[in-house]
Amino acid sequence: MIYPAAGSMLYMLLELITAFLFGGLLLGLHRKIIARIQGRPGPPIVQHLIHTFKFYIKELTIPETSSMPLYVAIVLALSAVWVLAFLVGPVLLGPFSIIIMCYAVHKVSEHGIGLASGSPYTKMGSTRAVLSATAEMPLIVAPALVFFKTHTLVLSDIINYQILHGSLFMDLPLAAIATFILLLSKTPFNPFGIVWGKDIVSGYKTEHFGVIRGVMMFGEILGFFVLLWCFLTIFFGGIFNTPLTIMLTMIGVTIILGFICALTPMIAPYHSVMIQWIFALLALINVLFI
Amino acid sequence: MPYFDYLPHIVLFTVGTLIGLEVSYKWHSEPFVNKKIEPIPLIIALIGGGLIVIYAPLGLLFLGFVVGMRPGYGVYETVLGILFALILWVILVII
Repeated sequence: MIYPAAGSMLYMLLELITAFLFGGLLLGLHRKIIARIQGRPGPPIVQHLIHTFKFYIKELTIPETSSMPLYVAIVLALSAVWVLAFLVGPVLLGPFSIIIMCYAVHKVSEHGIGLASGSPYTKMGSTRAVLSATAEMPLIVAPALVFFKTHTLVLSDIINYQILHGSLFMDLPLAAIATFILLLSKTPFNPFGIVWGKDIVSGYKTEHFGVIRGVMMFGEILGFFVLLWCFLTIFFGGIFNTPLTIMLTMIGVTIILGFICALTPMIAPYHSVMIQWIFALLALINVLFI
Repeated sequence: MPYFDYLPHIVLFTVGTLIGLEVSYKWHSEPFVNKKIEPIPLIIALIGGGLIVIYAPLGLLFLGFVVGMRPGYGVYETVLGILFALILWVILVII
């Protein structure tokens, strides 16, 4: 097979399309599993992709109460940060710190999306986005522990370290669990998903429809793929370091996430933050093993 | 090795699920009552399971057809197709 040059625009575009389609199918599988556990037939696996594409041909409505430039631009920013995170992570195996930065900007984007429309529901979602940002401690703790252990935050070096010394999960199991909780908190219908809570309709994205919602969903699909990839690469990089093994394991992790999401109710906002903090603090016990 | 090595697999599987969804709604417009194994989806699943060992993207197209069928339909057929693929893989590759 003839490959485009690694790092070229075509190469990145093909990687992006692959990740988008695969991530979309994973989220469809996630919904299917939740439905099956709850005794419903559930939507077809391809539903999440159909749903995303559908928004691209729907009419774009912008509420009169919205701040129009922010309403549009912040959604583009949300997608752009995940595209950047995807290119830096799975494609180029670059610095993990850039992915963390992208994640932080993603939280800011969630806040901005909520504020931009002027709806009280989205504003409440936006406020919760800030509250949930305080729960992202595993995002700081886990990379710090990985750095202390491997003396690098460059993803290719972390993978090489694990190929030589074994997966970091064996050395930092509590950090891996804390990161898994973080991953869970970014999965749809999760117990910590206070920003999308149905008590506030759809949270910060209640007022976003049409192509702008499609762009948002594109970013979310890529985000799910990137977070799954980061979790597997950083803690299981010694075992899963080829695209096939990573993609198959992603399916397995999605099934586990589906079970958890189906069997746990949504937690109250403050409890959600507290539980994630507890896991982050538990992860600090791993400092003793470094 | 890049991820887009598996782009044909993913695209054909997705196309298969879309075709399966459309066709199964043509076959079954009634409320969901059917819990039997249907012959045509079963044959498609077995063809998919067989092809997946020979040329995976094409096998995934056929398997995607039964996976993507109208919610509630094609479940047993999918399981049988995957089991057939596993048995065939063990026979042809492992043994």
